[in-house]
Amino acid sequence: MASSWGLGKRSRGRCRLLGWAVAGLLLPATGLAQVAPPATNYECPSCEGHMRTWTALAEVGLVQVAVNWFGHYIVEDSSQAVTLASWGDNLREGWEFDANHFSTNQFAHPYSGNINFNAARANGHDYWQSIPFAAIGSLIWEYLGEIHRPSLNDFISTTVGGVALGELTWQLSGLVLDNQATGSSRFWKEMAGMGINPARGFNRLFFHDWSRVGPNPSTRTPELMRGSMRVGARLVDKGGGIEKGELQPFIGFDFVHGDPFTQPYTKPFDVFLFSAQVNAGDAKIIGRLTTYGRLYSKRLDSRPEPRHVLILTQDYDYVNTFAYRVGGQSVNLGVLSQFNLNPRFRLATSARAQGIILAAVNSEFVEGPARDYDFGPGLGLALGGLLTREREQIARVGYRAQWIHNVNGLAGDHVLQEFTVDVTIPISQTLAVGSQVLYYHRHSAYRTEPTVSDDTPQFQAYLRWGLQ
Amino acid sequence: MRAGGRLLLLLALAPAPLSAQAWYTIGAGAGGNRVDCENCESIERFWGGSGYLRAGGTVGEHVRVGGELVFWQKSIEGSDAYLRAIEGVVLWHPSPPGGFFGQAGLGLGRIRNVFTTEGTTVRASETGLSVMVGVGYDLRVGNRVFLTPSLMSIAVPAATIDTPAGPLDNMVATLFFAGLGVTIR
Repeated sequence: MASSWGLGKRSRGRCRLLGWAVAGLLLPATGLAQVAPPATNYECPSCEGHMRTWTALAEVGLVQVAVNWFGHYIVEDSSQAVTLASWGDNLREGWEFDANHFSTNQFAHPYSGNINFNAARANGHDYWQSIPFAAIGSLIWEYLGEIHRPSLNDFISTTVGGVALGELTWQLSGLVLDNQATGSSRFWKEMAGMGINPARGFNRLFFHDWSRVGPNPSTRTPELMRGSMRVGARLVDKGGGIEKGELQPFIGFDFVHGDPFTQPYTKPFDVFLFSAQVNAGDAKIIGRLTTYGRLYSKRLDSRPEPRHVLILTQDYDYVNTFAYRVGGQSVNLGVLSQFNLNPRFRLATSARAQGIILAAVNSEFVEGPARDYDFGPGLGLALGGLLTREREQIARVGYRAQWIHNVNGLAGDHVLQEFTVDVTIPISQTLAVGSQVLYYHRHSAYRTEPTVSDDTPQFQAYLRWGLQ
Repeated sequence: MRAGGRLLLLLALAPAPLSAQAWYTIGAGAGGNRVDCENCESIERFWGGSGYLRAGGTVGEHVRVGGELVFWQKSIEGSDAYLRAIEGVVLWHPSPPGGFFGQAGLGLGRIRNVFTTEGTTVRASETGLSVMVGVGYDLRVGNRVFLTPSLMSIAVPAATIDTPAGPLDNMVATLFFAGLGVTIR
């Protein structure tokens, strides 16, 4: 199934190396002599050290066309029946905020931005270089992909959320893919990579990296991944209060890659967290999705054992339940600390300030059948404590407060608070039982409507498996 | 406005760049403000004076980052309308040392209307998000001095803003700026 590096590619690579060597010999007195040959990027072996910018742009454009054609011809969605006149109207009339479902705006759009972003990542661009592609893809879609006016909230969530989800899926797929694997193992790893990151999978297939055997990127570190799966039941408030709620099953996944204390910062998302919860019997199957990736960090002490780290992260949050909905993109700056209580127990704490670029919060606003939430930027504060025994979670306490100033919806402000206590009791090396109490409070002060305070308690009990 | 004034003062008093990393731009031109809202009968466009101040650093051959203040002002039917934005900006030079660059910014925008109704002066203002995209060109005219023509579009949404005609709900103001600046870097 797998083949060695293609002869043609290898020959071209050798010729290019030879060319660089000759240039170096012939031009010793010029700056060119100091230019190194492009380094092979093993995240994209077929790129041969070069960025395929035009290919990435073409892919971003084609994705928008494909989605439009699918919507227009297969789903027969009338909003996709674009014409030259609709393009002209969109350019003339400009931005608005749309009235789509919460899940469409806060999950589907970031997911599509992830495809645009990874079209660039998969063609040799790094994290920073790929950001404009997420924005360009969104602009093309908003102005040319639908007959509706371009939506400013979509542009922000597709671009910023798309970068967060995009780099997450890039890193996750990079842990699964293995350039050294062969045979059926290679096939299934490539299939898994395709599932996690379709844009990367498509490019690997199209440019023959799918079957090419060679070195892995030096940054591929699956051994730094730690995860767990939780299966249990949660008491769901369907809007009538917790006492009228009902027990519903859920499955949760939590993954952390890297250690912000011991690993110096090397590249965006070299340390990341990914947490998802699938809910049965609730508003949507995906009930909670949280990711954050490290963008920068710096140690704040000089002890042999690191204790305090300043960290900057890019976060994406999505909570969609009957009881409450909140989601958005943010940048967080804070301090992580760890304290070894004894050789087995460790306490880690975090205090982070949050700059919320654009959040969506359920509210008393109503527009059409789907829009019952406000949009706004804001500020937040998150405090957390995590007690571990031999690196396994025993207890976790978290508090988060957010202030959202509405720029679309009902004029006013939201103050959101979330308090979480989670306790786990190990019953074997990989198995544990646990329970979680979550309390969410929304205080919405509107300019023209009565102030609303909404409390939402939630209880969970679960079995947890450690996934190493 | 106070914060804006302080930044203006800092920029005015700032010394010439001590290293090739720092850069400053001041620019002025015409700004067309397209205003639409939930309860507006039609989309209105207002042309007014506009300008911007920028300062920042160079983080690589292709990329400059910094902060900017953008101003727009217009008298509209008895109301003095203002739009201000304070943003973080990224300028991307695709082919240095060529002068062409793309630019994008994200920050806070403020819309303000001052008008008199029944003898009372109303100062209505609302803060929102601001999102900027645009292009520009640095044309070298001196050792460190460049003329910088640029085009920008800045969108500022606001949940509501009072006007002489009544409140505009869920408004989006989009400023289209075309102007000329001077860059020192």
